[in-house]
Amino acid sequence: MNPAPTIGVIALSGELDIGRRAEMQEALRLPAAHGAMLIDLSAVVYADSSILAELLRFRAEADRRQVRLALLITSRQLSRLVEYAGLSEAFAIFDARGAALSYLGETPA
Amino acid sequence: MNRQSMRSFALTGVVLVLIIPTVIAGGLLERRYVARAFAAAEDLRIARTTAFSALRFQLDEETGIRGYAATHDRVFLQPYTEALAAMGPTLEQISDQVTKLHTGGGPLVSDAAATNATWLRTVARPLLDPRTANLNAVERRGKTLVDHFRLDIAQLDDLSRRRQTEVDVEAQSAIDRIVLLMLGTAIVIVLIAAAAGFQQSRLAARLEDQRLRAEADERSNLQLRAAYQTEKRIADTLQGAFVQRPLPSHTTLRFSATYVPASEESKVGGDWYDAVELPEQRVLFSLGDVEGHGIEAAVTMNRTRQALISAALIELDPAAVLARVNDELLTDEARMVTAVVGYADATSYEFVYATAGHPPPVLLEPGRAARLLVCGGLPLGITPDAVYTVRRVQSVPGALLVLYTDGAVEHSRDVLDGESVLLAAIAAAAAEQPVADLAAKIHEGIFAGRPVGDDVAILTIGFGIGDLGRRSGGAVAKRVA
Amino acid sequence: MTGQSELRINRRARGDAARPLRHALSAFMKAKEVEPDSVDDIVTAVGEALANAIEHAYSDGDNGKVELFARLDAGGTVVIEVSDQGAFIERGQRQGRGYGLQIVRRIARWVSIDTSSGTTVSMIFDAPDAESFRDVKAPNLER
Repeated sequence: MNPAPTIGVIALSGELDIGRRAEMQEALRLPAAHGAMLIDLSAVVYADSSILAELLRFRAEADRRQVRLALLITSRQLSRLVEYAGLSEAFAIFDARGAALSYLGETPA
Repeated sequence: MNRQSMRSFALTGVVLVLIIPTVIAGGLLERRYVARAFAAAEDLRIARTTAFSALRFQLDEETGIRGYAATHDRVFLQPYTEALAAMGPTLEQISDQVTKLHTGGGPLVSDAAATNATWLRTVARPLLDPRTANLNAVERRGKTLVDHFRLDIAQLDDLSRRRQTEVDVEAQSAIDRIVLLMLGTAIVIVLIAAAAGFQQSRLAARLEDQRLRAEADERSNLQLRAAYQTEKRIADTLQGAFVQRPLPSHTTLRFSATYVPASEESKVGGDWYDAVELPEQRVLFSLGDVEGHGIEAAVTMNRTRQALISAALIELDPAAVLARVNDELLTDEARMVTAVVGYADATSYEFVYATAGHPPPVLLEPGRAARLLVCGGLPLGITPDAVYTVRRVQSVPGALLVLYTDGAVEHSRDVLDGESVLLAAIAAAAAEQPVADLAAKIHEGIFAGRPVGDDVAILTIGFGIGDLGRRSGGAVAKRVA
Repeated sequence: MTGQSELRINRRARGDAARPLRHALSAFMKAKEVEPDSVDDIVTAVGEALANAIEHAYSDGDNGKVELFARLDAGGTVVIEVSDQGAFIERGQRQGRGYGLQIVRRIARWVSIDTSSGTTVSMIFDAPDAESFRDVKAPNLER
């Protein structure tokens, strides 16, 4: 019997550009504990396509382990970046924390 | 209601508010004058009548007394007694009247009263007394006194008549003033009406003016629309002319081209290709892409082509040609143009070219894989500081130079993918024998029935009669210049 | 905006070089009163070009310079060039499989990569000031 899924949160902030690639890779590791993950990017003020590559890698891993994934994006620049890259449909993206959490299903751990 | 109308209405209101009470007051005042004048005239008439009745009484008294004196018949005393009774009050009445009516006859009334009193004393009493002798002298004295009385009354009447004339004149003046007032009011009203009428006609004129202006606007709209239709026809004609310009049929250089606009309805677009024979076995070639679609892009495209050909007649260097065209296009604010322009030399298998922000030309030489040539430069019409570089390529017989617009490579997920599709299509088309309609075959090879997203123009220039199909190995016949 | 204005700035091609160059460009455009949404989009595109230059220059082990040049003209157009002197790389390798250049093409009116001497990514953007912003069409997201 599976335990009730809990939601893990990974938060990133500031300007996520090529200079912080290693940090993004380090942060975006899929922990074993949770059945759902919220990537909180609400404190990100700028991002380039480095984050997109890392998010796609992360998503591939989450899909493999059947972990539900949601992104929280409030920055206009970041949401336009996702649009321009044609990845708007590739993720479940929310601009409010509550909506993201109810999508993911349970209260956070 | 605009401010002008409100102002004149307010003004009219003020004028009316001032005038009407004045007219009414004036009218009432004058009416009082007239009423008084009429009353005075009536009173004067009465006064004159009263004065004459006083005279009649005096005469009745005299007649009565003389009759009695002659006959001693008491019946003659009756008129005397009656007149005597009436005389006193009548004289008082006359006195009041002349005072009220300001005739100035006061002294005359007093004199008449005194005369009557004297006659009563010195004529009537003696004649009534039977002991009186010398009746003739008394009667003679009586006659004198009565004449005097008559004179008084006559003078009183004169005064009354004079006063009456004065009153008439006053009344007439008052009436005249009323008439004048009414006339004046009428004139003012007429002026106000005229002003209002004038105002109305000014308003009407302004509305008419507006109507004319609206009509003029409508006409200019129609003219603009007509001009637009004309421009569209011109653009269509130009585009038609463009498509129909024949490619040179040359002994050593072979050309083929295709132009497929993005959509059926917009048969005009911003892409073009040109190949023009020049003296000394040279051919000018160009291909380009105006930003956007439709008629406006077509118009800019034609301008650019014309400028390019004109510049090519002056300059021998394709980079200089682009510089001239850039200068010309800088005035066209909105549109950006990418282009390749160059000269091909039929005898030496050499060509020079320059690019302005355009995708790289493809060169397919026998024995080599198709490759992208160096490109660069900023698009035309962006900045006066743009720098264009001439590239020189010494090629070989059998080489194929392919120029294209970005619609040929930007149809797929990324440009890289688009480029490899293009290169493959060129290689495949060139391998077919015979080499005809090469450009169309390349287009087919890229799109293979897929929908075309953007306008696509392709121009191919084949050098020499060599065999383009042999891609690997094989001796290449060197042509001696 | 009056006349033409230029910005030219460079840094050693390291991971932390992109940020100061982006900030300089952003400040430059804001000072010229370019409309904020356009500034955001342009910085996004140029950020990709910078990341591309830095990534390839750095990976070559050759920490040459990465240079940003911007020219803004009075008509509301800006030409931006990001160049590095990385060793000659096939154009194909340079474009890579990442999203960088796709993003640039979505935002810019025109992009070109010149690998004849080092690599220069040239881009042209609309950079309207606030008053003329309403006349500018939104970036073409369907392309």
